[in-house]
Amino acid sequence: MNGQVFSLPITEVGECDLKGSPKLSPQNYMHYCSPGSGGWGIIRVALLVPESVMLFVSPAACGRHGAIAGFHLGFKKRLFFLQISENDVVTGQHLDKITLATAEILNSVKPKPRAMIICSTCIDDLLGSDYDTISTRIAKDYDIAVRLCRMDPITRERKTAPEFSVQQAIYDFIPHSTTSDSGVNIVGCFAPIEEDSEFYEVLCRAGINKIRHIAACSSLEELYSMGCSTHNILLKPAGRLAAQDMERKLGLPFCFEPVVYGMDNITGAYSRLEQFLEVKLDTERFREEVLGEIRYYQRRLGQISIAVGESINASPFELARALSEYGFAVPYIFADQLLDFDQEHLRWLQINRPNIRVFTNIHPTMVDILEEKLTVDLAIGLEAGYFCAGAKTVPLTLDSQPYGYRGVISLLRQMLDAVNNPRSHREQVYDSGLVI
Amino acid sequence: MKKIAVYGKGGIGKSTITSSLAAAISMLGFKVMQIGCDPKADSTLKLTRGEAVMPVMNYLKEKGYYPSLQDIVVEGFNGILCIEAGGPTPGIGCAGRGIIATFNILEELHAFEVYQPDIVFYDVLGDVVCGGFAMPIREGYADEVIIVTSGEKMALFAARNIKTAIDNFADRNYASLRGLILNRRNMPDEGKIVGTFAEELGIKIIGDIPRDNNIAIFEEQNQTVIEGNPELPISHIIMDIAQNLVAEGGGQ
Repeated sequence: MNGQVFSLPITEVGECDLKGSPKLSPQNYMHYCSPGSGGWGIIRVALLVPESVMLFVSPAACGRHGAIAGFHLGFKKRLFFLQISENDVVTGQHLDKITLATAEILNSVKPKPRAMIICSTCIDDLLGSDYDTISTRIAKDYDIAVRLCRMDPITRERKTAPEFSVQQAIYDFIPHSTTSDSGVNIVGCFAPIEEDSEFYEVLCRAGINKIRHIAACSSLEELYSMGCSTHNILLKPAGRLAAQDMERKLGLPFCFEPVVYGMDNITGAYSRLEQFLEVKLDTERFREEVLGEIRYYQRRLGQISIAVGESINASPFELARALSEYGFAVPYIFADQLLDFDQEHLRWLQINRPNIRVFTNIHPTMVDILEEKLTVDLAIGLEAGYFCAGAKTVPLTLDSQPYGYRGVISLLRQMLDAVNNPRSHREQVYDSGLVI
Repeated sequence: MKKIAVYGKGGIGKSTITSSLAAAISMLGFKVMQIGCDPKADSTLKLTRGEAVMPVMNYLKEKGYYPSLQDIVVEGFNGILCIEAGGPTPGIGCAGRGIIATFNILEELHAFEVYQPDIVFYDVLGDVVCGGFAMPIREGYADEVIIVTSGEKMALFAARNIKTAIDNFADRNYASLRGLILNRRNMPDEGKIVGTFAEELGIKIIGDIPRDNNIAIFEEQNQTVIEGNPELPISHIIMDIAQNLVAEGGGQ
């Protein structure tokens, strides 16, 4: 393209984005997709269900990238594809083949799967294929729990876009429980909160001993036990549809408290959790401890400059604010959207760090981003690492879930590690198993 | 809530009968919703005094984003909630897909939970030709199907096709067939012909509507005959069918 790359001074990011104007998120162009973009795909999320297999019903081309990424991530024995032909589209006979494919899968996979997710694609959306009846029949005939999900980017603008509906599907396995044990579920994120987070100790001291997460469930029964909890804490916005569904079907209220990295933001999050869970959470000691540790990392890292990306385990605006408050320079943010949650942090940055430039990952002019020769010491997020060529990169992917005060230490530790032991960006991208 | 899909050959009078039944049932004190599933988007005109209801598909075409319930639901005669699916420009796009998209949007907007109708009518274009036009009879949508027919050969041919489709779906918990409504065209032996047809296929005739000029007269004024004059004999006939419809049981 060889034109100027689209970016905004942070002072100009704001109102118009919230009103849907395509300033940060271009809607009228083809989107640029950098080598560092992507995240957890539908397959990976769906296969969080323990003892499950997935049958992906699609034309060959639609299944291709999921197959490659799925096998790369080690799902070869849990992921199966049923290819749809043009003839199938006209006659609808691929729907009959699903039952045959199921029989083949259940006869060949050992130990026998106890749950199955059938994934359809845009083409079955357009055909209006009735997967509900098929799944009911399979569940009955094979005594297996079956749920449906869709890999249908055609619904990308809708409330039921694939990344939202797949979470709805995985939590839909959980039945309503008549007993409760005052446990708490962590939903929306793909990994349990890191073991060294004070979160467990804080809640345990408040009398909440059972903290459940789908990725920590090794059996279907353990997943079902999430229905015995009394509250859901939602960590990622993509899980909101699922949390709303669980509230309606299982009677589990939820609150949205994403991971944050600023000390005052963490304190605020715990305070809201106290109200939501109706318990007293004693966190002061951990705050003090972590403040001491932060000073250690500040000394070790020094006055480095950091670019913040979007495909990270954080809100880019909140993280940029937190890093600024810890004394680091943040010259660039890469972000495609502005959520309500970001507003407060955006305003802080506009007042206190007005020189930050905000780029849009998906803007078509980003194809020329390398010519901008953006230079920073450290990039957080794989796409930020790509855009700022030569920067040492902290992937901060969704594969692990920092939270609370010690979440800050987890991040600073990764930053120091990246500075001391930089890795090839290409290797980091491959290792992450990103799916676009 | 009971949901009823009305099928039948094009031009047989489905919209007229559906609207009249909706009006009659609303007069019985029930909250009624009528969803027109035809790209022509003219199912509910007789309930709104001719006020056009913004079809869901037209809204999407014109605005480019998804509507709210207020954008697509118009309250017509006696509080009947009127919705039109609409569809593509003739000759392009996919009408069946339009119905699927409309149903998905209504589901996302929680239309039934918000309005809590007692009776929902789906007024469906023609025959069960593809997944889109079968959508209203799928599990979770209509509970019962009514086929409107006259004694004419092609109308009976379409009725047979619809019956066959419903039979094919028998093991899928789809809607059951409530019965036939004979909308007379005054052809010779019409009652006998349709009676024999119904007997052969094992279908109950749940209504026999004679040809009556009053229907057309009130249609000219964009009203149903029920709204126009509920005391007419034809209105009583429609009221009787409505009363039976809202009564318990009935599926075949």
